[in-house]
Amino acid sequence: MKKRRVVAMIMFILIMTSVFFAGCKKEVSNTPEETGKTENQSQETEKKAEEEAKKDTDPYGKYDEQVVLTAVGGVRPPEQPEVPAGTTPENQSFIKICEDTLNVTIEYLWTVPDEQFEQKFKLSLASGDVPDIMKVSQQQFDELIEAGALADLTDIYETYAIPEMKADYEGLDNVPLKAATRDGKLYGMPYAVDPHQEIQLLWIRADWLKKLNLDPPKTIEDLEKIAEAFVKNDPDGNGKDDTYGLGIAKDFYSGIASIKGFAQGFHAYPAWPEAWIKGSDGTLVFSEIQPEMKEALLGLQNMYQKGLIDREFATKDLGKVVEDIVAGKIGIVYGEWWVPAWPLNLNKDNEPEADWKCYPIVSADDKPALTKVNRVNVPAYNVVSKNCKNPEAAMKVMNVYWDILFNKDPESRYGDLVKAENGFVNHYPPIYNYMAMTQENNYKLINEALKNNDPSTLISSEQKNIYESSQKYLGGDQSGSSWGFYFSRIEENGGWGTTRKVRDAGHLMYNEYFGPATPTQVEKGSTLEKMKVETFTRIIMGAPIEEFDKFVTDWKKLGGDDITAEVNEWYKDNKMN
Amino acid sequence: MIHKADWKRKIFILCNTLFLTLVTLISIFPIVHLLAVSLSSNVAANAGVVKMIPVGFTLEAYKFLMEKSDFLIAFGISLKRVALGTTINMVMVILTAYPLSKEKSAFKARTFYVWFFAFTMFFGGGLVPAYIVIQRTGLMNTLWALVIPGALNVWNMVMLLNFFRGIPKELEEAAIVDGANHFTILWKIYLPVSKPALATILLFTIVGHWNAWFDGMIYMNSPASYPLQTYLYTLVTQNFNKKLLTMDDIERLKNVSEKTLQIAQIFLGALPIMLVYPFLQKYFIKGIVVGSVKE
Amino acid sequence: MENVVAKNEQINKELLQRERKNKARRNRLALELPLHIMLIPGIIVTLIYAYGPMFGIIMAFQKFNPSLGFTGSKWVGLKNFRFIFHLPDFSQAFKNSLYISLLKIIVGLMVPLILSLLINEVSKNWFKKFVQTSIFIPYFLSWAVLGGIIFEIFSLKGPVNLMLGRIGIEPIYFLGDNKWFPFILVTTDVWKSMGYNMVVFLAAITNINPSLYEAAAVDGANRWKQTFHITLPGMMPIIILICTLSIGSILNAGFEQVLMLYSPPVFRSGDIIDTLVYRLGLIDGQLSPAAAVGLFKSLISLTLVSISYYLAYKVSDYRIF
Repeated sequence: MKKRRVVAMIMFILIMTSVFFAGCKKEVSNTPEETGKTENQSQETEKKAEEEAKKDTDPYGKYDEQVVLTAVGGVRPPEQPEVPAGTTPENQSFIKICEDTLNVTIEYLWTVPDEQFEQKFKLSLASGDVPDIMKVSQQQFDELIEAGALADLTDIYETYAIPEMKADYEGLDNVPLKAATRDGKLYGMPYAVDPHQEIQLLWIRADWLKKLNLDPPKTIEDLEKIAEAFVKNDPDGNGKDDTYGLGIAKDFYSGIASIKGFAQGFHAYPAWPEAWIKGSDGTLVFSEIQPEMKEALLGLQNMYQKGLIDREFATKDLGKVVEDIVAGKIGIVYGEWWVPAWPLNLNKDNEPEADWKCYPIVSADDKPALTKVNRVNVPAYNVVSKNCKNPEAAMKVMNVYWDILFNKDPESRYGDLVKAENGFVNHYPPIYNYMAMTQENNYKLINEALKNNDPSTLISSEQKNIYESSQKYLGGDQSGSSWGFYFSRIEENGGWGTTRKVRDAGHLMYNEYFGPATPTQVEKGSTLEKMKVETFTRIIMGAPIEEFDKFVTDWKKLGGDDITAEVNEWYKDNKMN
Repeated sequence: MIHKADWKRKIFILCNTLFLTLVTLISIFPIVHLLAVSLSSNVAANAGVVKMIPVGFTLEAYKFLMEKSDFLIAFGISLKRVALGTTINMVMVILTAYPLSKEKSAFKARTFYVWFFAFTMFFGGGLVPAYIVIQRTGLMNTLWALVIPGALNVWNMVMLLNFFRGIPKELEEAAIVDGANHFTILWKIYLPVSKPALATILLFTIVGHWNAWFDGMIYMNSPASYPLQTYLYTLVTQNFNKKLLTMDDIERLKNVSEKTLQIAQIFLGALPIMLVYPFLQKYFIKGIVVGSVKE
Repeated sequence: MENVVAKNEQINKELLQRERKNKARRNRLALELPLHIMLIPGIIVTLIYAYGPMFGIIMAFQKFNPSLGFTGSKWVGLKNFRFIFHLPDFSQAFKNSLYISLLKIIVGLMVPLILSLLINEVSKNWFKKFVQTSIFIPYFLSWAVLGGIIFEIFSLKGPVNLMLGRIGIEPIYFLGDNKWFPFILVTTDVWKSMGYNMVVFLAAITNINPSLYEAAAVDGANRWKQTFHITLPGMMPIIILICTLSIGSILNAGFEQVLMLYSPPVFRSGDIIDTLVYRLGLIDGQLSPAAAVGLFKSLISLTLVSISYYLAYKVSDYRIF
């Protein structure tokens, strides 16, 4: 009996271990076979493709032999409710479209949720899995170039990119392409955003202004008075002392609830990424060590001491501030054009009487307040691996994507596959490009269409959606989401409407630096940034202003001077005007 | 005298009960809070006004969840992982702890082995090489990647080893005289008298597998194969950072508004593991005690 | 010739000796062989998945670029170590890590120990079960979830300050004040994880031979005396074990927790080595300094654990493992 137990035990262990090894083996033996297959396949296609490429320069040209592009993806759930459940990047209709029109198929090595992309991507690169096409951040872009891992796209862009795409970059003076170029070679297709999107605006609860008989602010002084009234005079009329003046989150640099707009009133330009502005001697200087920054911090300190800023702002992240906005505790907040779409719409759902209005930022003196914008705004680059056999296929895929999203009547060319209900999700494709001038185009076209009551001039499906939402809102729908849509994008005195006015008035201060992170920035960046954020927060909370001078000295000493030199070295060759 | 001692004891019991009740309340309030939020209206949750009682009571979030396949799929993967992982872990821990619990006189190489294992508690290669090893051994994107690398939990093993050493030697010696071998001794003597320790380690192993989220995130190649806690982690950690530059980021923020749904999933994610505890707990309270076997 | 004979004799002798030794060894082997066999699965897994990745330590001596990998990245010698140790924030982060984790170890041991002793005194079974289960609950929730709740509790208008207000204390900005922040970290950490050690201690108590208590009761020892003379000594091996292993993690002050709870005004008291490394990796994309710090931490914890292992053995003649 005993023996049998022991034997059984040993058997069990053996089975366990053999299961484990069998598991390993199977996986291991699978992989080389598979890779061998794809290699053969791609070798064959390579030969064909070479012949093809010579005669074929058609941006939408179809391959005779199927071309396989490997890809990786950072995904988040689709926004459109019509997208069928279970649609993943691997089975999205865009792949089918590429197969049908280009005979190119896209194979995903892996996909992860958006937030985890960088980590998985780094690990996957380090283990030798480099996909053919990928969308990468500035940091990864620089690293990949350093490693010599990227294909040169200079000629491919010239030959294959469709004119509409080229026109969009030209609309930005080709600066995005410049940012993607190293030593004269174009290494990626920048996903460029209109820099004016980051213009800071002042958002105020007009219903509170009305209740307390106040006028919209013209100066910082007015703003402080309004904030004081919002705190002390119980604007929500609930008899409780539970409202704040100015909403600020602990992370100063977000698109909403930052200190940026307020500081710009003092002609100081805190920013992330760092802003390098032109100094009086024509060289670039770091915006946040200028004396104006000191004034701005004093202004914020003053607000804090008067209780106009939440005493706990330094520990509140954006999520908490948004809770306060939604709950109707905050009456003034700085933010970009889109904030009605989120989170002000949620406040409107919670308090239908909430009436947010939008104003240009105000100045502390008689000079107009300028808002900081980047010369170029490239959040990501679409790049192609050096080992990719058909780099031009990547360009063609990008062309098709653009064609579907921004050219008229894609249904006529691609059929129903471009519809959300058939599994087309805008942000799923592995190469991702967005028309930089989208907001401006939408604003003009849709306002025109609304005026004429004629949507036939609209081009993209996005525009048609916005048009419908706007009509709903103008027809009396009071839901937060239609108001948010309309007020952020279409309304003349709304988000984009006011942004345009600021842009056209030229009240802008440019960040002139758009090169890669300099060597000292890579080494010291986080140290300097932590020091900066800590000092600024402490000053706002009441620390002596002398800490600012100490910060400036330390910043220079601990690497800031080196960074300044490096930035100016770059600037010599990349002056914009 | 006796009367006085009795009286003192009663006071102690009263104070003890009050104190432990307080500790209990402090411990359960977060889960009560989560439950309250998950049963509230979305607007109230977004405004952050829900404390311990639901505001605008609704079962909407749970109704929606029952139709949401990704939650259920992730839940299933977690169950599989716990079953497989716990079995492997327990076998490994027992098999390793037993030889190492021997004195040096009975097992000469034990000290070497012990340090061989203990060393790995303090030294590691880091994430990147671990990823490469997983990939090279073919575990990537399989459930095995979540259970094999940590198959031997050294911390638990050391703990069990110490419990094993507390077992009276006479039991073992008597068995050896009877001609029992090591496997029999382990099976017939060690395991039955170590139930409290085994229950403890079983609990930690189950909880460890249930709560693990990081390995799922890096070793799985598609969100569809994430275990529950990985899935929940990606829900909770919304990127509220300064990189709000793109239309993507702005669109993403809309998802944040589904707060009650998130919280309901967190609550349901913690629920099964809370049910495991009372089940195992009887072994901590009155395990089969060493002394009673002795006779 | 004589020489040769002598040599032969010597050889013979040696052979005999060796044979005897071999026999003893074989005997021993026969006895110990099953023990070796039992260890095989553990050894295999440990070799592949714990020792296997250790080649990655070389990253600490490289300027690692993921696209170049381990073979392609540049070697930089000790530059990463110099870089880390010369960072202005390093000494502060080091001190904070040490301070916070030392407090966590001490309080994190005392509280569960006391709780387990108190729970052991409860006679009603249902209450015992209920208390135990409840104490374990916070352990199941991640810091990402608890962070927001903790913020509410300790906020200026939160319940803690409300209660302090009742006894006339001005509201305290717990999470934004350098004086208080480390204590909040310790308190919340102990609160979250006390269930874990409590279970270990309860299991240790259960393992104590009840005949000892019976004997003590006959001798007229009261509950206090029983606790101090039987229960605590009986738990000692486990207590020492947990102490020693905790010392090994003395430079891990709780990364996830700090990341969730800290903010600029408390960088001074709350920044720990792991958050420093995290920022280097996240903002600057530097992986190598992180590897250097990891190696440094490993060396420290190995040294500390070896010392305490040795001390425990010398002083109490007890091998921790």
